[in-house]
Amino acid sequence: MTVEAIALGKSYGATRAVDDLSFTLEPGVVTGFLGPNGAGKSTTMRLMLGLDRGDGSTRWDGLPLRGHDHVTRVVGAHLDAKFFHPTRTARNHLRLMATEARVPPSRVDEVLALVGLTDVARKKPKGFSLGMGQRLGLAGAILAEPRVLLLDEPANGLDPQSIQWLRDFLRHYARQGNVVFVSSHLLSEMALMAEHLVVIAKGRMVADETLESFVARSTRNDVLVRCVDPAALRAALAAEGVEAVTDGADGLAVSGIDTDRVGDLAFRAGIALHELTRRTASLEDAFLELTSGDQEFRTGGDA
Amino acid sequence: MIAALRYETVRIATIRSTAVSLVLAFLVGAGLGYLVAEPFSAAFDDAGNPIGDPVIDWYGAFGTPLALTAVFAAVIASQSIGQEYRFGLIRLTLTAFPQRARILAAKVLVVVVAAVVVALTSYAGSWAALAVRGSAQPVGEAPDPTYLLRGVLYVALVALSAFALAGITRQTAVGIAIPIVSGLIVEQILAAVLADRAQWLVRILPWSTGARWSQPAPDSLPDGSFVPYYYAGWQALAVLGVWVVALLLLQTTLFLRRDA
Repeated sequence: MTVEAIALGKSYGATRAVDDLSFTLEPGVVTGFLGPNGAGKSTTMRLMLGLDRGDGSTRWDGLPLRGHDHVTRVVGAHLDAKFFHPTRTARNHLRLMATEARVPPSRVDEVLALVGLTDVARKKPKGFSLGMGQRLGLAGAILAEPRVLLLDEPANGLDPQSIQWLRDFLRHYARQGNVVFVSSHLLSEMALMAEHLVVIAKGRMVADETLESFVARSTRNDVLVRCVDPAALRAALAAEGVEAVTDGADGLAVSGIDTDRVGDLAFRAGIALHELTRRTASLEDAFLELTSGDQEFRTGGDA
Repeated sequence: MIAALRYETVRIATIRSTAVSLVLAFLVGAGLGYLVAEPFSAAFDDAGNPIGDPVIDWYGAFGTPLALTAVFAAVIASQSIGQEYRFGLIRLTLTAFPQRARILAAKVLVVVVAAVVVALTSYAGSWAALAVRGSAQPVGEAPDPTYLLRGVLYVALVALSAFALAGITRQTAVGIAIPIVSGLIVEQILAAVLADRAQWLVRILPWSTGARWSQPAPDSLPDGSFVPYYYAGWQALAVLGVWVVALLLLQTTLFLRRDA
């Protein structure tokens, strides 16, 4: 199963919330969906599911969603941790979700156990914490063992153990040949969870590539070198066309070159090194850098 | 369609207010039915003493409670769409059933069935009250075979109007309140104000006209002209029915077009 989003678009009045977004979700990997607040992530997911009216279309194995017999076996969506009736018990909520694909009651109990809600299965969810609501929503999404999971901020409100469980579960689910598409603003978690990224800002595509290549695009990937004579090393690097900037009292940050070459140049210039470290940008570094012009809200500057 | 019907049935059966509404419908049917079924004398001699056997308003015992029973059906109907929007469940529903017309049709059917069950539950309460009074079988006039059917239809139409209003506004409370407030207050005021100026409009006010389902239709205006000055019985139900169809058409249009 592959999922093709084709030229998705949506306007609210004069504001273009989603603009000509096209991407393909492949099975076997967790695809992270990133974007600043207000970038259009949730709107995009709703457009994919046909919940919002807009431009473009989404093909689920080549068909629109309504072209499939049992939709809940095709896609399981978790869009909000509070999408339940406050007085319908957790178990009955899942029984309701189970009807479309005729999922047996035993599977309802199995999923409740999987997400750790067995003890509250017969309780009304109006008193559930955000984390419990997330678990119930996730339980509903995976109930019919769909070939696509589409999750909007599923880690919100989860404790660290639950986040680790979610990460392991989603990676395992993807490895079984399923599509997993998950949005999150927890970039450190996304770095551990996702193998592929779709990044949008102001409704437009910023990146659709592997996590590795996305992070590699950051200028914050550099080499830190500390030595007895930074000025001399800087001159030696400049002679080779390599740019370096001061980093601390006795350090230089060198871009566009690896540690081996910096070491060789320093050796040839007769400069003793105290430290030679390759610094890799984090997903957060790359994300902030590549979406810096598209934040709805900025700190330390004009809003 | 079967899956959508099953979904709607489970949805309506797994919230407590449905069971509460049914219990209340029985209690109202029994309580009001018992009060209405108080035996009374229909004939008196010259000295004012009652003659003959006391009679009871057998049909009234069934029909009178339906004014309240219809509210319970309206509550179930409004919740079946209004709460979907209030709690965001509409997005889960429409994800599972992307063919919107199909799920809306299932909702309408289940609302109708629920309203019929509520009405029959009220009748069961009324029958129990009549049994306690010792008159579980019709007495007096020959039974009107359509009376009880008209009552059920009235409850179903009020429920559908509430469903459509809740769907149009995406508010449960609006679906419940408008049929009550309009029928009991707004339309009464309009009827008083417009009685001389726009009698035709007064005749087609939805909920106050529909509430005359149990009455016989008058033949003509008081001044002797041919057109009845209000609709009652089947005609009253037809007026309410036309309104319900119009509201459902508007709701369907909006449901198919707007964002979930």
